[in-house]
Amino acid sequence: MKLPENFSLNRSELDRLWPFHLLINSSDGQIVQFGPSLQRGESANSEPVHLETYFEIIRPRDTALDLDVASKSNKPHVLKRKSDGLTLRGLFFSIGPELIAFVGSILIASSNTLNEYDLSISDFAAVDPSPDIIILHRFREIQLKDQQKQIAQLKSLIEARDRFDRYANTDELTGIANRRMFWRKGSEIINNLNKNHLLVILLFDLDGFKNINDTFGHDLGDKVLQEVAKRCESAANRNDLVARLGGDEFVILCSACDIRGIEQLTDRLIYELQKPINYGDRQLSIYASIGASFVSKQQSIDDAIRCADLAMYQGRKENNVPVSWFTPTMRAMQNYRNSIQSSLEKAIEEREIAPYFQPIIDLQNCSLHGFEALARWQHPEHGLVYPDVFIEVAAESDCLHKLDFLILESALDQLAIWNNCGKNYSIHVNLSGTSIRSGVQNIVVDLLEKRNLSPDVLVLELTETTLLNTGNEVKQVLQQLAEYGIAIQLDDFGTGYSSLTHLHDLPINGVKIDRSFLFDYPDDSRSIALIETVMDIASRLGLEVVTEGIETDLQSNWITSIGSRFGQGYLYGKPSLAGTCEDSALDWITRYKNAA
Amino acid sequence: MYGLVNRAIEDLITSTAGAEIWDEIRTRAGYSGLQILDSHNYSDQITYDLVTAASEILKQPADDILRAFGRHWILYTGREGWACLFDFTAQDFISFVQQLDEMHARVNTAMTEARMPEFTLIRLDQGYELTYLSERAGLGPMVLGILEGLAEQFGEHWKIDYSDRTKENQPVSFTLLERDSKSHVNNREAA
Repeated sequence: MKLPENFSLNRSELDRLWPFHLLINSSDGQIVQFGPSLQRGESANSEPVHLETYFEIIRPRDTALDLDVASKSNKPHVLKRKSDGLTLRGLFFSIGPELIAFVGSILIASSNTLNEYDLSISDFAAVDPSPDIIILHRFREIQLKDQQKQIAQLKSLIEARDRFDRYANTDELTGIANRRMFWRKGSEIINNLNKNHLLVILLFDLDGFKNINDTFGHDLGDKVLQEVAKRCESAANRNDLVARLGGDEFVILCSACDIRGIEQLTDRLIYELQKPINYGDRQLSIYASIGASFVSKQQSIDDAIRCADLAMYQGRKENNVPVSWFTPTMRAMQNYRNSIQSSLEKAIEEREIAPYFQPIIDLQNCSLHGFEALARWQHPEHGLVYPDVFIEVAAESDCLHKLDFLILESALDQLAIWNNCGKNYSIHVNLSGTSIRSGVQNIVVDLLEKRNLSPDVLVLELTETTLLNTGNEVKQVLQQLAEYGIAIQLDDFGTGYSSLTHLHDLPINGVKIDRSFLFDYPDDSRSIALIETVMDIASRLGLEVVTEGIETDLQSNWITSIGSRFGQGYLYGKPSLAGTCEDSALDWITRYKNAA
Repeated sequence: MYGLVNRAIEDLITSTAGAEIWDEIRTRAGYSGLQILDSHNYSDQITYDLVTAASEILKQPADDILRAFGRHWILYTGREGWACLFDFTAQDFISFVQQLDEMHARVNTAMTEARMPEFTLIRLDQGYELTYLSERAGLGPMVLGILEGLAEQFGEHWKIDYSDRTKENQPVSFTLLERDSKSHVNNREAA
């Protein structure tokens, strides 16, 4: 571009408008003048320097500066000072036959550009917008910094959420899903259940795990749990949900196309759990009762677990059943038990539970010796409830001792009535382990004395299970009861543990041979041998023997013949209320005597 | 106001009273979880609430806090990379004050949501009268602090008085009287 003939710029105008200008000799390319803002650092007397020696041409990139071309070009040029990188952006144009001018301004690359080249506002023309670019740059830098801050915050939030998620959903000890995760994920799986798939929940805990902790310490207990978790994962399929619900309770929610797939999984699980666990040079065996239940899409995860839990409970009761499957009967039984449980305490308080009396015959004298007081519950809804249901519930509800004393008191009341009528019966009352605690001897004595009953009319029957792990406290209580004259018999003899030790260590007066030994008399020769052996031991130790479960004259005659002093069973009378309990026994005695 | 302002308040409090006090102030103001970003525009109310909470917790009049903040603003923005802006705006206190509207106009090109105040400088027989007009009420003490901070930045000594009117859109007048004419030197040159 050539300026009009009448257009001219003097030096000061050029300086004011373009303080970053250059004047170049068009014939040799030497810079003959620097604008005032470029002059700093250049000596006024220094030799002219060639444009391309002093600057690198950044744009246009493809050609070296052709002064002839440049003088005609409207293309902006970018020049970079070789000494320090200061970059200019502007245009070349001819201002005379020998001079080419470059006019422009500094290229602002960052907010720090002015500091970098020691420039200030006074170095810029008043009309130069370059300083504004500095502000834009600075603001952009701030925005970038803010973005980084936001990214860092977001990252830390995500990390915190992930950490929380891991912590909240994973069982810390075993690394598998925890209860919370099982509930959440399990509910999702049930909701998304495909109708072509079977969904099964398997629940189990480890039998005797408490003993492992107590015997070997919690470190080993933890290792066992970790190993079990690993084995569950190994048995389960990839998409199955394996979780530890707490303590030693594990659960697997598994799906399969058919029942075969489920069976394969349960087989694998049983196999994994049956393998002993190695620790050090020892091996630990673990046992688990697995409760299993099919899960339907309509079921909640809570209900699924409840079903599996019922099945597990049932399986444990039945023993030797590796997998127990839920059936609706279990739920009905559970509801029944719950109903019993909810009304049991009230029943004890309001004496809905009362003793029924079953006769005990003195076989050697053929007379009515006394009765065993057996608890029966006349339930307002369920009718007569037998102890095999409510004793277990009472034990779980921690009110078994209340039940024991209710029966003891009621039985002694009845005994006192018989006593006042001149009937000198004995009364046998069962006591559970929870009732045999320090101080109970005083209560029993007090109950007898209040009714003017002699101690020798009371026989306390204890099961061998009650006496398992007998401590000094129990021994002392029994000792004091015995010293007072109360007889103590071992009930269900032969079905429990370490009977002979008890006979040796405790003040036992007699044993009751369990009814199961007479079931198959006279066909079961082993049972006959066992009964005869017990008779022999009892005789040698001076113990009274009561044989239970006598239902036939044949049994009665045989038991009498081998020396059992007392007999009890349906032959002599079923348990019944006090008003009728003597009748059948007295009938039998009459019948027996007549037959003799 | 842009977050830069609130962050400058944070910087003032943490550097003078400590980070725990700042947390207390933020909580008192109701912004404990708020992450303030320099480049975001926030409601003016946040700034007012922070100053009110700072006044209550530090037991200092809000005007004193605003004035201290004004002085700190110059240091803080300079430190945060805005020194270049000061450099090319002017090289002495009065020129800078004269160029304030110009500088704010430039800043507005980047911070487009900023609502900048207006300044008018009139030469008097002795000194100057600076009129400050803002949409925001009650920031006179902050402007006083800014002017004091600027004078300090340029190494000059000015006696600055003002008469505040706390209503919005009401001008606030400052009288600027130079104490020592010899010190009318750019601090960069002095350095």
